[in-house]
Amino acid sequence: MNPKSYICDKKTDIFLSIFLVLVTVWLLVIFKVNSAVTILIIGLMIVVEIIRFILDYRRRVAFYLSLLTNVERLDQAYLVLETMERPEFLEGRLLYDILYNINKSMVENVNSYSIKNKDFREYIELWIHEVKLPLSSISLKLHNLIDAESKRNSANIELYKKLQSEVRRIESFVDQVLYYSRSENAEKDYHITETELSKIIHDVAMDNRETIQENGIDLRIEHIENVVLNTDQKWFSFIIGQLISNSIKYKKDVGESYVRIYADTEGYITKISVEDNGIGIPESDRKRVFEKSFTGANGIGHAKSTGMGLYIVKTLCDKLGHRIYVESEFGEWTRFTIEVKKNDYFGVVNITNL
Amino acid sequence: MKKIHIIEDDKGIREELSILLENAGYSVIVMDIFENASEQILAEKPDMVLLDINLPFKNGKDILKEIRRSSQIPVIMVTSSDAERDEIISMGYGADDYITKPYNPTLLLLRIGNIFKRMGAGASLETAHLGNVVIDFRRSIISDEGGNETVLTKNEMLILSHLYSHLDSIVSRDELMTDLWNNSEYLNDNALTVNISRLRAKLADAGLTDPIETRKGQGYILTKGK
Repeated sequence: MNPKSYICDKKTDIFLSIFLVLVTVWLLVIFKVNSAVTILIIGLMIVVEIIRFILDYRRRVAFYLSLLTNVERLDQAYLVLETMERPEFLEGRLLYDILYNINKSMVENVNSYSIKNKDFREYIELWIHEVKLPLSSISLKLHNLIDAESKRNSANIELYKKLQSEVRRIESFVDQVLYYSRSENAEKDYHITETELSKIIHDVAMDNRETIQENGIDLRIEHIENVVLNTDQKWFSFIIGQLISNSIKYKKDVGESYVRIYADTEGYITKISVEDNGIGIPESDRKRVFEKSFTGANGIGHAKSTGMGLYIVKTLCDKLGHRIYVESEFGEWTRFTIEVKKNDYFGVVNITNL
Repeated sequence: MKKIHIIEDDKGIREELSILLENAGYSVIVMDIFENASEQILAEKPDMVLLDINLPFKNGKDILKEIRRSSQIPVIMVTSSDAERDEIISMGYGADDYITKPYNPTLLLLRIGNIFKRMGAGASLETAHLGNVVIDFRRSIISDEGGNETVLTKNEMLILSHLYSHLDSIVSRDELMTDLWNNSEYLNDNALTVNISRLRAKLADAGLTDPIETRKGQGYILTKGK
């Protein structure tokens, strides 16, 4: 809002004012009023009109200008009314009240969705805990069946083992949903502590042992002793588990497959790599593998990709403040690397505790 | 026979868990009514308790706290909640282990076995006799009649001690794998076969003929040897 646009907007008023002055001049001339008095009256009228416009301009400009600049400056533009006083002039008051009501109804609307969203998430968490019970029961049952059948050398064992591996697949899908729901959660529900990498790798290895062995994968763990990470143990385990299961999913059909996990510390950064000799990722897909629902050439070829695994991994890494990237040679190998920064905060706390 | 008390409100899991533990050679008591759970446990005097967290009447953590007031029996918390808070609280109240569902049954048995082993730590075996061969568990060495010593690798030793602790009964490859992986030795299938044949060769050199038999489709069995 500048004087020019104000004048443009007020052109009718200004025209009427000028018209009024001209009519007055004409009347005064017709009635032969003394010219000194005429000049005095006209002068007074012009001064009053100009003051009226200037006052009006200043009053409005103060309100609209701060409204405009505040909207631009604010990160959340809808909070702008919190920064403003309700203005004195009528149009300003109207605008203010309208904005207030629009804002209120928008906030209510958003709230109703965020409550629904929260309810849904709570239900998902509950559901996951519920569904784990029958899954546990099935996996125990199958274990017991295999135990009993193996004493009779029965042919059913193969069937039960197949069922077992299907149950494990369900379990891993269920976990994926749990972590998806957590990764989308605005609240902070992770807990960063100093964690031994070897413990994380051990847990992941134990959780995935059967799947790794059924697929004939050679798991090579190297240089992870005495590596301590500032991370959330459960989240990090999930991340490594996802990377391993990706390596298994995209292994080559022939030859010996391996998954190699190793760590490398340089200064403040520890790099944890998960490397395989699988089918690799074509260069055109490499940048996009972390995108939601992205299933590249590999995903389509294997027809079992949801495109969610790596997206969740990336989201969790972002939340934890870790950097993740992928390198690959198509047809040869793939390597995912996570960079974890050493957090000085823990050191500071330990020193101040002394 | 060690007596294990199962406190689990999901009927399906409870029944299968009982079968699992009975097959593994434990005697099992189950709880059906969860009122006064801690009194029931203390009255039964089991050797170990498998305790769920989400239970009717009172949650597992509180039950654990009550038991600990008067008893130090080993307690393993078995729960579908993977909330870190539950784990920290449980360990703080004095749980011996914490396992989240769905768990690997072999791993559960191994953890139970480990706790019993730890409890009997004072009497833990340092050496054992297998026929005329002496096994030195601590130094990872076997020696024959004439005192000639053969060094076993870490993996060979792990396999031998696992077989020895299940002397004269069948141990599945799955169990051996679980034990090896649990000791951070991530062997693949071929490597296990190779390790077992090396172990056999070393035992044969020490003068034992065929102490480790293969039971097709079932696993291995260690006998005292001829």
